[in-house]
Amino acid sequence: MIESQRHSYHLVDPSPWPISGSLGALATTVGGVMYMHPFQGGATLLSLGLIFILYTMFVWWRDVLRESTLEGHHTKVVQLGLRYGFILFIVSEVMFFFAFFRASFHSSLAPTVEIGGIWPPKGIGVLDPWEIPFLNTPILLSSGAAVTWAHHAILAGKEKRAVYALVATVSLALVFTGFQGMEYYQAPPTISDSIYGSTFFLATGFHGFHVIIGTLFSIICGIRQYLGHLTKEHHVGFEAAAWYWHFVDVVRLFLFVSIYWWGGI
Amino acid sequence: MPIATGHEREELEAELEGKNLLDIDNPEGPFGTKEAPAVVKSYYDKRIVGCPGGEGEDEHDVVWFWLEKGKPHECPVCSQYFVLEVVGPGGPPDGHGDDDHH
Amino acid sequence: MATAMARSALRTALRGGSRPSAAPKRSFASSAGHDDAYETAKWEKITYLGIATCTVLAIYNLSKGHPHHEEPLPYSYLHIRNKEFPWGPDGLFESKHH
Repeated sequence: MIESQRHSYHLVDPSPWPISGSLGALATTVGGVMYMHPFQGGATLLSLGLIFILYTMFVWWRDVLRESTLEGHHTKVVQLGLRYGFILFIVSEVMFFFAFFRASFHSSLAPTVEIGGIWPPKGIGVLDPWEIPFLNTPILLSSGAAVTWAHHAILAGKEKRAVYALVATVSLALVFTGFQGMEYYQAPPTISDSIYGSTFFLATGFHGFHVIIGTLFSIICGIRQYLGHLTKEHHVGFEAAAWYWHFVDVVRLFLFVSIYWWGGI
Repeated sequence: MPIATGHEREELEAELEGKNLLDIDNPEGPFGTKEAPAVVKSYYDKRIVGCPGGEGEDEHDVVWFWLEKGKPHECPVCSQYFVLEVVGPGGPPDGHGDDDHH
Repeated sequence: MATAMARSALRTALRGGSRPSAAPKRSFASSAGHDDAYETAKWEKITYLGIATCTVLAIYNLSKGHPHHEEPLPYSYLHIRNKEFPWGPDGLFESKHH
């Protein structure tokens, strides 16, 4: 087998997905603004943009999986680069959530006169943190334990156990999302009820969104594990999903302690 | 051997044989002269080499050049002398024939 | 000064920067399969324990029923509407019939 290169780096082929993703993002933002203001066709452009982005994500990641599993471009150095990249991505996510916690503490540590000078604001109904919020935290933590189980199973070469562990991870994640939906449905405040509602739903809502992303990520890992793509030597995609899942877990702990519990009593 | 193909597989196979495909990179050694040239290994008939000059005071900004099989190169700055030793399949490094790919 | 710095950076890049041995060896990937088998069994048990705990908690929580909240007084900072939502008068998760 004579290959045309002898270095460890993956020089990627030209790809249409960066530009298609950019166009999708442009359509989404313009469509989103039009949708929220009295313009014709905003909803159509917004949906079109979102479909474009989702399509781009699907085919782009499909290409990456092909390059890795079917073409063998992900050498050790490439895997290292992918890990660094994902760590940087998670760092950026930490900053993203830090902003929501900062907003919440900014509004709650010194409540303004406009909301009665107290936190939670006067007259607002808040969730009991010891009901669904407390229940959902160990559910997500158990899901984190299951992904650790999957990790060790992959490292031990127990491929079937790893699939079971990922099924457990995803199932617990779906239960979490179900309970979160129930909590939102029953929650007395809404996002338009004062700065409390705004910060509460912004922080918990984005966390819930990240849980859904992590669930999809774990489902993909489960499928790839079932197909035998992931080996104990090479499972960068799984590692990234596991790191992401632990990150989502940690955010949930902070959410529970500071927003549900400290900020809700 | 786990499932792997392409360069990933080459790398793993070399590892199983106790080799590292990249060992030929970053060569170090005494200053190359016409009598005892600095030998740079290559899997192909030519590769890009950078000359950083000698040690300490004799160092210079890196000068890059193509080093080809059978064509020793003398660094225009410090006159260090290089030769290429082909240790792999040889042929052009880009796999398409040298200058005639359009 | 600047050239010296650029030079040393280049030298690093040349001599060691791209060396694959610089890649950190992941400690637990290199550990023996036995340890991982042990850890797999341990985390499997922890997962089951977690699932059992959550099931008990869930049954307890759901059997309690949820409290019904009184309509709050119409303070100006509640139910804020500057304009209608694009989809209609009610916010998402807002149509509550208790």
